Amino acid sequence: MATTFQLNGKSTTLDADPNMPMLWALREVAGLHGTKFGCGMALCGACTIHLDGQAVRSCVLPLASVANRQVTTIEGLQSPQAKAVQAAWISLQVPQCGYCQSGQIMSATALLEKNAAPTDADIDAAMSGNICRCGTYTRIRAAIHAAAKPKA
Amino acid sequence: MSSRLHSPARADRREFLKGAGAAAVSALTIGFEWAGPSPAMAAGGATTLPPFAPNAFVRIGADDSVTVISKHIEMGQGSYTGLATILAEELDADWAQVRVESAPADATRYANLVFGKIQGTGGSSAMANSWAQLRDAGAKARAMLLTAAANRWRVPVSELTVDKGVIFHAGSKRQATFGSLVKAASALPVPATVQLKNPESFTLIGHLPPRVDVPAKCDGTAQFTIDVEMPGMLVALLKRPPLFGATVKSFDASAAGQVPGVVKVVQVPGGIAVLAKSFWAAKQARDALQIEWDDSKAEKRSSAALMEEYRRLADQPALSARKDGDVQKALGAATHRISASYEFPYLAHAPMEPLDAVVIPCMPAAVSAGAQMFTRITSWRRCRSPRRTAPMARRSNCSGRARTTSTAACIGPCTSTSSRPA
Repeated sequence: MATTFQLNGKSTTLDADPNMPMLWALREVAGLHGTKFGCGMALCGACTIHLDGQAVRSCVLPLASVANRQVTTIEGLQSPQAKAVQAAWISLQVPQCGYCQSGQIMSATALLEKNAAPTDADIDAAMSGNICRCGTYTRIRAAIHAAAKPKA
Repeated sequence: MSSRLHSPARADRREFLKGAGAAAVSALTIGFEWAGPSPAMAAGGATTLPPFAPNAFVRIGADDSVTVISKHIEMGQGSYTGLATILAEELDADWAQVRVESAPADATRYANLVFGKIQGTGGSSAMANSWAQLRDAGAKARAMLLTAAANRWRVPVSELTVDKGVIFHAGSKRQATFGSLVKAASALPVPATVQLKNPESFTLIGHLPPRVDVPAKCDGTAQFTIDVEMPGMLVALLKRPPLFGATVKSFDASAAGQVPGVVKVVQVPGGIAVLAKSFWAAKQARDALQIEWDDSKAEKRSSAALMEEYRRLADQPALSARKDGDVQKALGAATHRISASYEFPYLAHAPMEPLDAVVIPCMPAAVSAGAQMFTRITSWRRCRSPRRTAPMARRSNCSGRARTTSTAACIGPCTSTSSRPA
């Protein structure tokens, strides 16, 4: 069965089981590998994507539920906030193993698109669903603050 | 039971200590041979000049790119950047043109000089065992490029300087990039000895150049083992027993076999494996397996019971790694005595990327995985008919190359369990 939606700004039709989680529709049908499989149970955040601008866990999101909606993955980040997040991530050398970082960047971007100047508490609340096994949390928080600052 | 669970780690520890004694000797005898162009270059570079690859650790392209070959796995600890820094320093390379590629599995060229004759990453040994080796490799490559430039311009090598991948001759105001000297340098003999830099002139070592792996980890392009795709590839998922040491008593795969995309369900030593055309199909089928486990020989102790066992073992006489002075006497005469207990539970490494591997079933099988010890894979004879699992894998892929694209599959000192196909 085919499901049509906007994927990274382009109208996309995927012919797959409508119950298939978006994570696998993206990775195995659309061929986008930037979104990662960690737990498959919405516990780790590695699979975070944007659905109509909201950070959601793609591993528990059925393909059918995105019909006619906007899906953004790490490959499709375009907003000024997203670019600022990615630049800050590089500048502060945030990643270590890197496996969780697509999800971290998606959550951080969704946060900044709604809240231009988040506090530490705002950041902790928005990022608490994204686990990092390397423990890069302090750099993640610093990078979000850096990305939130208007460029001089 | 306890000794069986823990013996692999203890054996590794002993080997580690044994190997450490030999490090001082082997670090001086560096294999410095022509590595030849890599399979990737040979396949994709038909229209370009062959690269300058004076040894097993560096390849310089006609496009000025400097590719450092890392014999150690990058797990996020920064080994790619650290190792490249050592070599690029002695080479006087432009950091912006430095990239890093994982070495193939080859304990002859890429042994960890601390461990002995195995290629492995662990125990904080990557930088220490590579220090002399990579400085030498970079300096020799630099010397050959300098000689090539001196020959071209008919000037003494002593009048040449190098800065960020460009060789200069001040007297004649001539300059040449590394890439433009690739062909000439490749024809020269590798010097037997070479002068290393005075550390005071270092511009990369100690100056924290940006990590080479960070940009790709910020835009989703970094490739992990789970991201590898090959024509005709199947996904195998394993249903393991819920207890260590439990085995399959019986299983019913009839429901699993009905899942679209499932190719085969097979019992293996680690449990029941489902082979399917996609992860999602394999996952659904694995969930549909009906398995009865035999727990009669399984580990059933609780965490508390394990800790009790550790405490009991800790009170017994231990192996002595080193003996300096008289501890009991010194403690008896001490004015202050501090007593503390440190307890570490039995933990899973729990990397974010599930443990995984890509296997190209040919002879010998090629494996791509995030194993820390990737020249110690010993259990392949268990795969009796590997060709059935990936009929479309082409013979040309059978390079025997074990790439370590994964950075997450194994974090910490997990050795023998992660490098064996379970």
